[in-house]
Amino acid sequence: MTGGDAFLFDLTPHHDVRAPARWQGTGRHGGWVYLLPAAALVSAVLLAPLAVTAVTSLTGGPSAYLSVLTDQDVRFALLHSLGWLLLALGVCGLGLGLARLAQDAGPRTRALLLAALALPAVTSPLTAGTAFRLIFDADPARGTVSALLPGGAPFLGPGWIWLVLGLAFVWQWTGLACLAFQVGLANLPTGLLRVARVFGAGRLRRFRAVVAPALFPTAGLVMLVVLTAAVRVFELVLVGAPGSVQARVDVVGLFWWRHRGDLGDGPAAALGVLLTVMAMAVAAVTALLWRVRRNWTDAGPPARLAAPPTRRRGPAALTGAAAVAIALIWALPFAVLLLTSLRSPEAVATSGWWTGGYGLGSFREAFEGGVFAGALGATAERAVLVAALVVLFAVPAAYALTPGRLPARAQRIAAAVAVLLAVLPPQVAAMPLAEMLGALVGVTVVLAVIQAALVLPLGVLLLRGAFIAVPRPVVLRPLAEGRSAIARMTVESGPAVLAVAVLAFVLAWNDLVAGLLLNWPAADQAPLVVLQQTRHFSTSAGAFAAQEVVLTVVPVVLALATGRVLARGLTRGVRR
Amino acid sequence: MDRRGALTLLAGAAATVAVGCGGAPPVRIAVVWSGWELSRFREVLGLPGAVVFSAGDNIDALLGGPVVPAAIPDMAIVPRGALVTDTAAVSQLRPVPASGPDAWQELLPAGPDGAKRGAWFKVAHKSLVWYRPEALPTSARPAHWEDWVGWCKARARAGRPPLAIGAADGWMLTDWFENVLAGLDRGVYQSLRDRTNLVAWSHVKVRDALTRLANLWSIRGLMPGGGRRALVTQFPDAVLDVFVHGRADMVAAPDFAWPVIAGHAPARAAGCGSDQRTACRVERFRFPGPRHQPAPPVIAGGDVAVALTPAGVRAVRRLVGDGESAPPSPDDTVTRLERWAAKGGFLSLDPRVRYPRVLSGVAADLYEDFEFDLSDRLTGPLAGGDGRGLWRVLTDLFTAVTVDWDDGDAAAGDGAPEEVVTAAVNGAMDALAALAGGSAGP
Repeated sequence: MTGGDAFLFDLTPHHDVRAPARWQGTGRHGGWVYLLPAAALVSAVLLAPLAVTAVTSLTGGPSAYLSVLTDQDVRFALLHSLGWLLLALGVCGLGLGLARLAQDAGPRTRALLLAALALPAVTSPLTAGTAFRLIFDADPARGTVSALLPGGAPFLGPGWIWLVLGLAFVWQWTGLACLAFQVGLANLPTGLLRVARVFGAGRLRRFRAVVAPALFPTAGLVMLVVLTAAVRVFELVLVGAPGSVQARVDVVGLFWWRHRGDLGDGPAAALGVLLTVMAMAVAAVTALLWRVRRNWTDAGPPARLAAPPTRRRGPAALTGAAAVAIALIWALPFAVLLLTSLRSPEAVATSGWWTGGYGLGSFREAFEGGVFAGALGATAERAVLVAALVVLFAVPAAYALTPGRLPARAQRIAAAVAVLLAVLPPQVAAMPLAEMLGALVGVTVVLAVIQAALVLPLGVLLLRGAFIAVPRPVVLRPLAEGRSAIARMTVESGPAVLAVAVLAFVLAWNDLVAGLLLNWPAADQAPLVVLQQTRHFSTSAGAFAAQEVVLTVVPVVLALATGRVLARGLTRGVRR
Repeated sequence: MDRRGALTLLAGAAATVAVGCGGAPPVRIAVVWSGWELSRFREVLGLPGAVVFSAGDNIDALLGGPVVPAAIPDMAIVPRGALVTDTAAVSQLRPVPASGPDAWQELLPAGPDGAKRGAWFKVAHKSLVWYRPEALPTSARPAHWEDWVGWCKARARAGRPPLAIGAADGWMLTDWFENVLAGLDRGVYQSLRDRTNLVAWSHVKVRDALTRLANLWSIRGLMPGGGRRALVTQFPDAVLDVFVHGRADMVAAPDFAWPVIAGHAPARAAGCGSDQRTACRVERFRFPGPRHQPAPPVIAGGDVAVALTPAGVRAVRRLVGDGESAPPSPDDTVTRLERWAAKGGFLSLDPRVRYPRVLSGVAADLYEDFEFDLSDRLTGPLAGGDGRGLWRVLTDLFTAVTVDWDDGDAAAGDGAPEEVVTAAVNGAMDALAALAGGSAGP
């Protein structure tokens, strides 16, 4: 709020920017009422089962942990999960690099690059896994890479498989990180940077004092999303690696699912707790990173968000060409999936997409029997319900966590709990939940509530960031009149509310793990139907590619339709 | 819209819901198949209103583990014989009519009333080797394991990979193991089946079978692309390697390799269904046993129909008949089963079902002298599945003698040196002992 706008609000009686706790009509503890619904949901669906799992793991002393940690397979799985978490940090770094590139490109190229990079984030990991397994198929008659590199190593085999799975993950999540950093870079206080340079601050110093504080608040939540994806890696490995190498690329979530019967209750619970602790530790470190405070006064609205200045460092044509090339590479998995789905199942099984054989046979096979169509309907119904539930619960909770609603310490604790719960692996809660809810679990509403609870912490954090960023003068009036500012803040944060709804819808739409653990074998979750199709990978590739195209179109259209608003909402850019 | 219009719409919607709830709920059936096989199953079932869905490879959890009541189907087709021997699981099941020969009936559990709690719906012949006749004259079919290994070495030496192995699917490797072990010593095979304990699994014949496999698999030039390729080759890909791409001469695969061949190499398979022998360019022989031993039994697999509700019992009757011969009609059980049988990948224990010529006699092989698939009967840590149990032990053995062994100096047709094979087999024996020991508890 600079210039003319701020003048209007100068009329409010106080121009005190500190917490207006005394003005709140419901008093000092009014904030708790707003926090209660979300807290109750999260306690019932996430915290209580987590506690049960922790107690189960400790019944009989530390022996469960000892037996798990002395198992070599478990240690490998833990190591692999840690590897995925580190890759997630690498993905964020790559995102930063690509954001720099996008900055240097022209506005058109930049829009193309960002769209191509970000769209994989809304597809399901199942789709990513199958697309990359198709591209890296060892058969030179079918696999794109094998055809390009004759005599190349069989990429899906031991060792090389890591490259394929890692690339699938990078493909899926780099764009989101890039988007967030791009907004951060556009908001860099250039004046401050210039001043720092004049006073002789080195590159590192400038980064630490100016660049990092400008970037991390924007990118923090996106980093959390990527970390959550890393700790929940499941279907990507399950479908991306052939059966023979599954044991070599086990991650904890998958190992737990496969061996929980052999391990016994105690050790299985201990394994779940270990995974949770590891994920939470990484999330906590990330949270500390983005707590880096700006120690300058807010530089004003990100006026350049829509069109940041193009500072051309290298030859412009070269930057543009690089950006277009990257966009094309990023579009390749989608293209391969689409082309595969448009060929007959027989052609797909024996030849590559470049050899023809086009037709709609795969789509016919994909919808044969009506199971997939039915599952699509049920999945959509649940996803809409999840989106509504998350918004309904997250808005008041986020409001409660804005300054002044709650004692500062309580607020810090609540926000920290939300950060930790955001990365919670569903496996930890699944078994106690299935026992607690018993007959109820199969009901659509109950599964939707569970899925909503899993997304809720992230939604609250996202909205809280947006609410805090609402310029204070906008909400001063309702506060001064003793009313709640929640409605005003929600309206002001429209893009963020939309982003949370879309995020919840997409995560519920793509969910496989919760459905597999809690609703199996009802088979009315579309990704589960697709997973069953992948048993004989190559001979059913046409059919499941067709199903995945349908499965991908919905979130992609949703993301494209809400594109700009969504990007703004996700990166806390709420000012108009 | 005005108020009246809205009310009419609402009333209509309510009526639709009421009618939907009024009729009998559709019968819900969980099966292991997906895609093509699932479509064939729907044809055989012939109940348009039924909800048939795939529960995937871990369908056994449906009977073994705690499952949400709302998700329990009326009927399920479960692939593993082991499932229906679990007493806790059996107590949930309802009696169904018996079907098939006595030897098969004995594999099914009975309730306290003596009635069987499952009916064989689909069986499989797992002791077949499919090949291209141009690679091997009928007269040169190997009679023994030793002949077969010798022929493979000669082909490999000539630069023609003789075998395609779908080592990406653990069950393909366990089928190899079961065929070799049952040929070596049927008694030991049966003892593994009956008790998964340390003594049985450390028997010298188990070691012998693993050593034979390691010696064969390690032959350089045995498989197209070598072991690394084989490890990422699934069952259908191995069949395609032989009959579509011509990269290998033969593949040891069950009877359900036939629909893969017929679907993807139609020209080659054109005459195989009828009596025009000349046009058919697909041949098969029985998995050979060791020299100087009695002929090995057929390794058989099978899927059991079980009922969880009275509606499920009716569905099972429709699938397997009720033991009495009904007059032939377009909708009798045999006619419906033949629709799948004609396309391949389906064998029934009902002797009245007819098959395409290429599969003639295959079903009859299963009626008498067979051993049931070992890996499908194992429970606990030895039970199969990607990345676990016996599947994993054999995958690791395969990897050890094909990928991990540095074959830089070996010539095509040479196997791995004895110390490499011994080390790999020792590793497999240790792994088996650990898994069997783990399952010996209460």
